Amino acid sequence: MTSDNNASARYFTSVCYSADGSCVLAGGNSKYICIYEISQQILVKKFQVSFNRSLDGILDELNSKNLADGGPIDVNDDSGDEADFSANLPGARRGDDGSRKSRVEVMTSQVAFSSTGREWAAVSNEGLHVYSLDDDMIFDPISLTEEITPSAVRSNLKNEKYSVALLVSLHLNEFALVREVLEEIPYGSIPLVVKSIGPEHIERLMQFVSKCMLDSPHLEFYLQFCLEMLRAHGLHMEKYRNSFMRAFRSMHRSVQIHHDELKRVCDENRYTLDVVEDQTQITLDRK
Amino acid sequence: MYTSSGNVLLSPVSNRVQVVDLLTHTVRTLSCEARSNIKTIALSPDDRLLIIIDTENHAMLVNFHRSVVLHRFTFKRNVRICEFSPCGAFFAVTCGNHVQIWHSPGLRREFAPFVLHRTYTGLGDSVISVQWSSDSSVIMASSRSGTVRIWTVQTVDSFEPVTLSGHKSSVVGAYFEKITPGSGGRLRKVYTVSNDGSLVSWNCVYSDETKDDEQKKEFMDASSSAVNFFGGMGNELFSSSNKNGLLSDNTTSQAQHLLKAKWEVSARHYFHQDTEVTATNFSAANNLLIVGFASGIFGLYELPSMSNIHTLSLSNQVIRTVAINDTGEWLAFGCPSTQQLLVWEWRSETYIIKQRGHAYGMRCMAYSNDGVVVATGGEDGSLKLWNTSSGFCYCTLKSHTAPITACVFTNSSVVLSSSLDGTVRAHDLHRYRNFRTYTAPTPCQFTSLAVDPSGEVVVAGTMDPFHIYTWSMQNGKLLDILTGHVGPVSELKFHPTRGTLASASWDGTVKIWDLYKREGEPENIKHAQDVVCCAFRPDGKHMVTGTIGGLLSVWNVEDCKLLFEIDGKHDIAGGEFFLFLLRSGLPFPTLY
Repeated sequence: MTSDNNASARYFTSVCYSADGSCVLAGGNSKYICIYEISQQILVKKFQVSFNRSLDGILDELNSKNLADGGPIDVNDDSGDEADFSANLPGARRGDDGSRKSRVEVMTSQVAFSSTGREWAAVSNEGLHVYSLDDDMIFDPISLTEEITPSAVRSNLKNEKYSVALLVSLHLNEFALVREVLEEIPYGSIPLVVKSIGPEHIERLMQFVSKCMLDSPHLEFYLQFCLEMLRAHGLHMEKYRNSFMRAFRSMHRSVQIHHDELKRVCDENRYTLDVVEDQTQITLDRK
Repeated sequence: MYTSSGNVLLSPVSNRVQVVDLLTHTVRTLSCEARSNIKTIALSPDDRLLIIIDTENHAMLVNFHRSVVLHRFTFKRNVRICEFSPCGAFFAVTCGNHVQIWHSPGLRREFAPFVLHRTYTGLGDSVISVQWSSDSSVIMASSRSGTVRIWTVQTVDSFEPVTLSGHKSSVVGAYFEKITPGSGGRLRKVYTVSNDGSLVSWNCVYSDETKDDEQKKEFMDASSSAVNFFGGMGNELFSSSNKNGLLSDNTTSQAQHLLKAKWEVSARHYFHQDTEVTATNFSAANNLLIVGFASGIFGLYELPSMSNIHTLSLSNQVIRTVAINDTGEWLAFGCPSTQQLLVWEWRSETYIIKQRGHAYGMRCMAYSNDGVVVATGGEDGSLKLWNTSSGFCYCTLKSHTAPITACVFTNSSVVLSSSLDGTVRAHDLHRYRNFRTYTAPTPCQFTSLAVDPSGEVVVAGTMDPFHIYTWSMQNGKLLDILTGHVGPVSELKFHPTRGTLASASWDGTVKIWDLYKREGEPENIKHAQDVVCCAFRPDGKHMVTGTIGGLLSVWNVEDCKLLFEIDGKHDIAGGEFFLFLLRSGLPFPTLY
């Protein structure tokens, strides 16, 4: 037994702090990527990068049935395409003597957190894996009481109590519901609604708004939300800058994406118009 | 690889399935994972069920919309192709040199959702392709031995399976022609394409065609009653598909027509490409045949006239798979050796998508400051920029000649990459070009890279002379060489607010350098083992380092004191390696 073949001789080759600095993400020459909480030094979560048995180092116990004297038997090497490219040298009577690696080992060469704090990525032998909080809905309610139900949200919406409806939906923390409420709020009452949301919910609201903005056609509506949030709660945000960093970044990212898209279209239109203008000028001159 | 409803492309990547939406230009990966690399996938015609079969012949039945695994199943023999019938009631699987037809399962969870309908034999070598007729009553399979066989799905009295043999080498694809009303609702032609670049079209001649209509009708009635008698339980499914309108009731299925059919070669065509045909596909609705060659050339042909519409060289690697969408506009190609996925619109001659992975895998990555872009550096020396929201690569920068070891974004839109070819290159993200190159006075291989928070100073650590080089970002001049390490520099990180630099090295130390003070020794933090990684907390108060013992240590940056240690050795441990077993000379633990 050497350090090479010892299954416990795995180590981290890349570490990275999360955007808020509370956790450390670590990946190495193993199939696992670990997230540690730093202040209490506990393992929060362990991700397995891949379950692909075509890679080496996935199974915890190997089956001796798949192992011959010369190396691992490839299960699928009957008369397929692979058989056309045999590893043997032409004319060789014995098998291949080389101690070449036939399988790729599983390992993570680098991990990094996104600055928005909503996702992180890892580079492994299989490619780039992006793990995101946004894709799967996580039910994470806060200070729930019996009155806080989706039907309460809807009845409040019906009675035009928008800020109450928004608060209740934020308590429930369900994306679809928050989005429904957000889109129901009339444009004119955005400033009032935003002002009535307490500072303890404003970060959550920012995250939801920036997420909604990404794929929504109501760009101005959400931009108005962003503006009002910054206006109404700017001082609070400035004071607790660190805790708002993630929300700021995701908001910035959403706005930036829209800006880039619009800019391209606008530029294109402007240049096309310029060309058309010039062309008409030229034709007029000719006449 | 497979197109479903026309604008969505499925592409298996190692043991996962990627779904490429061609309209919105986004890629997502299904959350289910196969046990090993995927060999073939099949999507049911209603887009609800996906069957994934891997190289160990382990099949997964997946709800495509939810990507939930409904059932797992292992086929006994080597599976190459899986194909759903157009009516959705069956799917065909090639098992070695047999073809098996299974009843396709429903969406409800069952104990054993896969039920075998029939096994077809008679082909001499392993089966390469399977094709259903449009009314799902006839199935055709081609084999490596150069023969093609046609069977009926339900038992038809006095029907003998047809063998078409006219090729010299293995038949890559065999296709039914579309049944048009003009042909009397009967199958008229079959096309077979072989490995050596020849296409044979087969004519189907019906012996009752000369008889008068009444006799014909009588015969039809007799044969359909025979089918009902022999069909058994599977026939119920079949008749239910009839009711769904997939088959109109007044026409008899192709299986009964085939009773009186005689096959003859009508024409032979050759592609004249001097290389092997590696992949073919046929769009029956548009009569278009796409042929992919081993040289990376593809050809688009219109049948039955076999006129060449288009020939184009896509890459210099083998095209392993081709697909065509329902409207026949978009052709998709996959070249696994270069990890290329291309979608080509042949009418306008434009690429819809053109994606290519890193040829030998990735090595490093970096997020941009706003989290929108990810840069990855590959072993092939290329640097790629990916959009995180769509999952598409939008730029490839190929300036390095050796593997890229580290990449980093600066504040502005500049990405830097260090490589084993002895250069650090700065790339502009507006013009997508390499605008500055930093090199050391003596050739050396860079292993680590960092840029200071203001974006003024570039530092890179090396493999061999163990030095750290610092350059000015603006003019590319070498500012300083920091010496002191006695092992390769594994990682460099700048403090997020102060101008200090932490360097981790294999000599078991982390040194903290103050770049703006000329004199003074660097702060030295000693570890018990080689240090391979380090990172600062975003507020700059703590630093974490990792050693090859699997130990993570958290240090206070102010006074370089150890705060905590996390022993991650047991958390990260796991996974046996085949090769290590061999090297240690003890293949298996024995009982005695």
